[in-house]
Amino acid sequence: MEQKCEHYMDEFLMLDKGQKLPFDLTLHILFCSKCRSEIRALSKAEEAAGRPLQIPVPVTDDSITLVMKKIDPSYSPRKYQVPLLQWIVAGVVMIIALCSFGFYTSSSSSRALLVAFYLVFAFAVTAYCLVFVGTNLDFFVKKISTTRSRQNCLQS
Amino acid sequence: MKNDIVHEVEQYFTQKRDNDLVKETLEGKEASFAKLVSLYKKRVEAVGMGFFRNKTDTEDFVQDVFLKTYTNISTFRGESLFSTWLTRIAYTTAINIKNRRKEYEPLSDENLIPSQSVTPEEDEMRRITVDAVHEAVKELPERYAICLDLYFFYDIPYEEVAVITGLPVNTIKSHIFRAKKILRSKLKDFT
Repeated sequence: MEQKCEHYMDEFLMLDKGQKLPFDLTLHILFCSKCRSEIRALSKAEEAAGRPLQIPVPVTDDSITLVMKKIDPSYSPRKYQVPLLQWIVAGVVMIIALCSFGFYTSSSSSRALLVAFYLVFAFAVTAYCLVFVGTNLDFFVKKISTTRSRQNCLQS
Repeated sequence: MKNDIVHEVEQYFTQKRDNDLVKETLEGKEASFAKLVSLYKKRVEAVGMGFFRNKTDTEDFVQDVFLKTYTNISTFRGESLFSTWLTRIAYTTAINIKNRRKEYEPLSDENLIPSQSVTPEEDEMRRITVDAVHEAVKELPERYAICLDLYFFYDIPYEEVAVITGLPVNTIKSHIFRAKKILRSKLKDFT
């Protein structure tokens, strides 16, 4: 059994990145927990080794601007962001639409229609919140870390 | 090794994204090239650190490589991955700067890659891999050291390592196999 495992482990070690596991090897690791856990650890180790160089540098980073300025001296990093005012306006419009819909349809419309419309509204509000937080994540992270550092300063 | 299907899907999307960014760069959109720089800067920087071992020279090198890449981007035909093409430019540029002397020193020697692992376990796994590569590199002819780095730290498959370095693929395979064997023995505690 030990020799068999060695043979299959060698077969695994010969494989390239992303290469399909041969059928016999797949079959073996299905029934051999020792090889299975070894393969899992090796895969994790390879993944961990390659991760640091795969993390991108933010486009707005100074070093990127420096490189781009060498290519085109007039280059300036553009960071497209929806202004906060537009977010607020969109939010207010959504709330007004929700309230007015509730006000006008509370007596006349059928219950099924109401449920359907409220589901749509719930979906819209959730999507709004997700997109808002997602696109302004940087702002929230900075805000939280500023608050934390201020608290730390006060404590010390 | 990652699940093959996940790896294939990931590679497909990466290739598509990069090809689109190259196409947009050719159309004159500088922001798309800036995105490519942001995606691959760490990789070029690592090649630079491997050859120059100091930050100032590496920064100049990174700028040179991306300038060269931008100037020659019309010659990229998408036959290989953009990352491979770029790494090849970085590798040849570094060798040319070093007066054609292949003075690459493996990244595992001084652990020049900053750790940005998600969990302590991952951090430990990475440290073990660096140790294993370091041990394997010691027994290799100097010019093969970069092959192990490219495979383990740059996440580049055999064939593409051969394209970048111009070394025979079978020799690369056998050296990587040896490194993996060392890694396997070092990982015994994790299984």
